[in-house]
Amino acid sequence: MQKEQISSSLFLFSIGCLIQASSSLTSFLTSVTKQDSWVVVIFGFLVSLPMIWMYTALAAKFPGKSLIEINDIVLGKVFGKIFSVFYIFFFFSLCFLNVNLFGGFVGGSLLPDTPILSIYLLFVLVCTWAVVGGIEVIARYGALFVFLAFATVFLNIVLSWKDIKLINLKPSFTLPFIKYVQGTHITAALPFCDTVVFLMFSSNLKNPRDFGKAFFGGLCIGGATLLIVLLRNIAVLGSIVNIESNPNYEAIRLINVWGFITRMESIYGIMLIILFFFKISILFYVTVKAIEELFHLHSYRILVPSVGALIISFSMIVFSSSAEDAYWGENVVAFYSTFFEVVLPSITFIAAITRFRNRENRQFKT
Amino acid sequence: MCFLIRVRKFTKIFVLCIFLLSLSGCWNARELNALNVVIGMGLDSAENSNDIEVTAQVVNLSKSGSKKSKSEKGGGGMDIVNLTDSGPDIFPIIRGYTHEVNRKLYFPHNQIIVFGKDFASKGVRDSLDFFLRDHETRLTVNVLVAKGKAKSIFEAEPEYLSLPAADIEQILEMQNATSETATLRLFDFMSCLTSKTCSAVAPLIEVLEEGGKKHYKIAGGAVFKEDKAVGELDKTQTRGMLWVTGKIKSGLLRVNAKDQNATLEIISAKSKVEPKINEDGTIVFKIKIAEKSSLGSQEGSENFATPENLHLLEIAGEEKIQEEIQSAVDKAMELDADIFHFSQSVQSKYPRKWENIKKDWDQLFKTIQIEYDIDVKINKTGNIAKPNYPEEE
Repeated sequence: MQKEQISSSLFLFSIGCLIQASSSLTSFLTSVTKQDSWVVVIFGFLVSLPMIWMYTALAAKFPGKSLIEINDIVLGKVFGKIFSVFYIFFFFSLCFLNVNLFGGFVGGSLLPDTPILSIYLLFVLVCTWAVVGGIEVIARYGALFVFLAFATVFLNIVLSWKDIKLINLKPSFTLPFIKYVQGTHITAALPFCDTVVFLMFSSNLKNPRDFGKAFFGGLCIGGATLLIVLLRNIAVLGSIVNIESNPNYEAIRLINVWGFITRMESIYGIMLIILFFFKISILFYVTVKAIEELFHLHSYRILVPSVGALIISFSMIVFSSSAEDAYWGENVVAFYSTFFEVVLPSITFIAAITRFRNRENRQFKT
Repeated sequence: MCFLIRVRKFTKIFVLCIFLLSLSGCWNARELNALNVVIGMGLDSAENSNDIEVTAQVVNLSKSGSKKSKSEKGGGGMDIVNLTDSGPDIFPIIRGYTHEVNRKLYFPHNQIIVFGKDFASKGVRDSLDFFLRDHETRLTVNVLVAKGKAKSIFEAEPEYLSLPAADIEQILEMQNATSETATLRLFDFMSCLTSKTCSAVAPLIEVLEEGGKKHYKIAGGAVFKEDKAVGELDKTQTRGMLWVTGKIKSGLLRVNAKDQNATLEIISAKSKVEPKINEDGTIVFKIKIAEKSSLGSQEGSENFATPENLHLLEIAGEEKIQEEIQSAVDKAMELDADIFHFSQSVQSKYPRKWENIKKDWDQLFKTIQIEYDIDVKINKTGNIAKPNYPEEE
């Protein structure tokens, strides 16, 4: 199978788009740190930088190899496969968790009476089509819609200008310290370190040396969008930002310019669907690609329908209620993600450094 | 081999047809003739029990067909129906309308929520939960308090208004012309309810009857302490409150200088409130108002359109504004309600001290002092340079 190649700018914008998709549904952040959520985003960005450096170093040490292949080289046949299975489970879980999050918004606010299965089914069906198209298709889609997402964020801020009151950002820094730690942990784990999935694509870059720069650039784009969106939400909503289950949606619902520019949440809904389509396609693609590499299959296309069906069924059963989802988002997901995004790559990285210290530029064959 | 290719082609076409089915419209689609569009909601206390009486003013969009009308009024081809029902809780009442009407209520176009005076004084927080939680209701609706029962507001359908509830909302927008009425969105009310020290002020609406014809009057404000309505502000006091919160858009100031009356038209007004906590714990608020007006009309032969007389008018205007603000402050202290959001300005300037004093805010509010720094500027004097009097010889 011919290896697909994407340029580093496509890579950069794809990472930005992934983080922008997370910035459209931020309720788990604002419920923890309320009006200081924007501070927590900055801290989370800084805390995730060492992790990003580690991913870049791993990719630089084994240029042209994806995560699964690196695991095999560094940790040996047995442990490498065990780690890879963990990663596959993680990518798969990210995928169906995001589908569930998406269904929560669409099924709760946009189409309340529709059975959730039909929403998931149609959505994942179209994602399947994108995944079969391959990484080039998905990355081009992501690069295009980064700009559209920026434009929508900018437009919504301009339209909600008269609702923005900077006094709503106060009182600052009055929450107990542990809340800031919790908030930073959540922000660093997702959305910023969710980008560990892009370690699977280091073999697809045209120029593997640009991995680190592109990664950092994409993180900045996504982080900037997240920060701006959170600042706007807190400035508009003020003290009710931690009550609302979807503060982004409610802040945009309040837009009322000159009496006729109202109900802009339709544009928000469309952008959310566009961005989540990208995120779920990437996560879906990464899952099937990882399975393909683990078992040395000829092509991942055989797996796509089965994995798609599994994603739909898992996303329907993962949470019994949205209250459980909220509890998961505030208390559990940071630790769950930390294990797969920090602990496992760290072990791989330390093993890589100790075992292959002097063999920087040699090409390895698995 | 050809057979397999044909099977694949057939499968693709079949799957595409299934996709086509999904384009036929959304599951949730409700056509116009299946909607009961709610344009106004009224909440009252039921007479003999703790129940709530809900009135929903509904536009019936299909003119022919089944109409359930308790009171029919048509203006511009629209049928307005007031649906009233009572029960212990709002959501069951609203859903229970389906026992009487053939469609479910549709909320996204709701313009106003009116509380009856009795209902508002008992506490509205719990009944608002439905409006905040439901996905169809919006936070931009206006909240009003009726001087009597909210039901009477909806049942008095003035002849000159075709959609009473929607037109009440337009009257509310017109209040900018006099700035003597408070306005309150559900969003602002909700933000105030989440804070312990904030007091919201909702506009007051009543129905007046003259010569057998009814019309609405919207003026002044009803003061909420937490979620109970505790008092009323008249027009002057409401304007005093609006001076401080910076919500004056236009209006008229009637002033007197040199024994002659004149009317100043407010063009724009800006306000700034600076709190200062003294060492002994008392709080002084410095209220700065910068206002621009124009000379709207004058009485008498003395020409006010001269620099010296304009200056006298400016001083008179400043005194008038100070009087209005002072009357609002006095009433707020009497009701012990922080309608100016002073607590928010203290909290933003002294966050640490605020943590200590916020439990005693109710007592502290009664002891605050106000310093005024009001500046009125009169720029324009209109089309005539001298009043319409013969020249003095």
